[in-house]
Amino acid sequence: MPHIPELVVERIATYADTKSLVVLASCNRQWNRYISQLRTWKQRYTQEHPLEDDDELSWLRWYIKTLRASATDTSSDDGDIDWFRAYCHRHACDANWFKNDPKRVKDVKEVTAGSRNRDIVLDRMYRDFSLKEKYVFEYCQPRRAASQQSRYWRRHILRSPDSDSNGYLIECVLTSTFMVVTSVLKTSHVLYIWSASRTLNTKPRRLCYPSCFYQDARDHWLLFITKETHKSDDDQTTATTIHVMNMATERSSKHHVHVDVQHALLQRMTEDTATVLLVTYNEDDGYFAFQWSLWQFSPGQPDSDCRCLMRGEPITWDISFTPTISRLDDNRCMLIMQYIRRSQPELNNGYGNEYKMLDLSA
Amino acid sequence: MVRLHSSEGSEFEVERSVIEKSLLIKNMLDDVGENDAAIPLPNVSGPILAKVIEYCEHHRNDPDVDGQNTTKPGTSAGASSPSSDDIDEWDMEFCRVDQGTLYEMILAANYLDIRSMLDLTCKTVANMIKNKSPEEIRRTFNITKDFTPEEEELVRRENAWCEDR
Repeated sequence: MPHIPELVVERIATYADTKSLVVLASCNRQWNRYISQLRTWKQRYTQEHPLEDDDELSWLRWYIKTLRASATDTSSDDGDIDWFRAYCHRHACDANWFKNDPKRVKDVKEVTAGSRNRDIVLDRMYRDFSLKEKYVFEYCQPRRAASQQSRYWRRHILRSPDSDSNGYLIECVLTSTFMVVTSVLKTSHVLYIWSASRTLNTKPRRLCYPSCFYQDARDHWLLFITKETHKSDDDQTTATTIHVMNMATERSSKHHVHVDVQHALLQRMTEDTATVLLVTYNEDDGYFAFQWSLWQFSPGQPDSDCRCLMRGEPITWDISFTPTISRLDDNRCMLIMQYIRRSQPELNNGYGNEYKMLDLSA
Repeated sequence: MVRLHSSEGSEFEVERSVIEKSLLIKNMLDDVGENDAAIPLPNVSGPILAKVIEYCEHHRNDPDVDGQNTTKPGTSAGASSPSSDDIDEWDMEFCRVDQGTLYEMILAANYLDIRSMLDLTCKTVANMIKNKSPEEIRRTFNITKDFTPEEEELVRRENAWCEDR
């Protein structure tokens, strides 16, 4: 690569995304110097991690104090920070938080600001008012005061990269370690994933698929399906792909099934095996017909074959509304059907609910 | 008409209104007034000057974007960050050249101060970097790795978050 004037490098950097720049900096000494000295880093840092936020300011202060003296950082004082290195460390910190396993050794030290943030979080709740207004409520207990009276709720607003865009939310799920929000933006389905304990300071991971349907989450595992419709002259087929993703690493495996799946549940999950319940239903002449089956995938082997463990007997209900299905435990699911009771319309205006337990342990 | 001399002495004739997309030439012409003398451009070779003229002719009717759509270096990122994706078909085809030519076009656009052409060529380079690993970038741009093993390990550790995500 010939010598390129600094101003031109700056201009290229203007159009390059952050990840590309960091990767370019790992190419050789010259590019490491070019990239690390770009004026853009301060702006990128402060735009993503506003220093008006006390926690962010505190983290940066900690960073300056702790790493300034190290050989990797050339910051000399608060007014002359190596913003490139600060940016990289801040992101390394985010990546660690995403790993989200408190027992795991962290490469970069986690720092919280005031004592308020060191309080124990007993419970979390998510509430959204629109795509722009998303809140996490945390029920906290101060570390030094264990009494019930001292417990309190605190609230913070979630930041997301699409907060200015129009769209709508579909669902939010909080597992013990992650929070997933699914929404629709224009024609794409978007999944936002936060580390549950770090919803305040971390930007979510953003996964975007044209036709993606969130299905289930357990601990750090996320299950979603994507569908592709292929049209030929006289036929239309839908290919369904089951995705099982480790939210801590964002590594996922895809498994193709030749069933038009309407609903899926992550029934059992280990590092090696995912057991997934697939439910298909369709309406025919006033009747809903259900078919369920239990499948096993290997999440460590992307695009691996899947194995059908069992198929349930078809279930049929008379005219009804869309059913819901929920997991009770590893071996049982509950199928709930709202229906119109045609035989006894005088009861409850003809409406009723019917439940069916699916036992998957057989 | 304005006459331009490339670095190797080739002469090009171009309409003043076309070549005035170059702020350098525009300022020169404003300074010297009506003059038949050829403008020497010692930093631009003939083939690159031909590309520059081709660009200016195609974009002769474009509104002057200086100070509007162009982005000042060092001021980017975030919600309002400029995108490298908005390149129209003609411009994309125009930049489909070998790497050496592309760099010479960047340097010429910078020297002649043609902001929109500089932006276009820089966007093209930014797109060439996107979604590539360090090894792929080295191969693409013929960059020699000159890190010591210790430096390489340090850089790898510093930037591991990029691969993580």
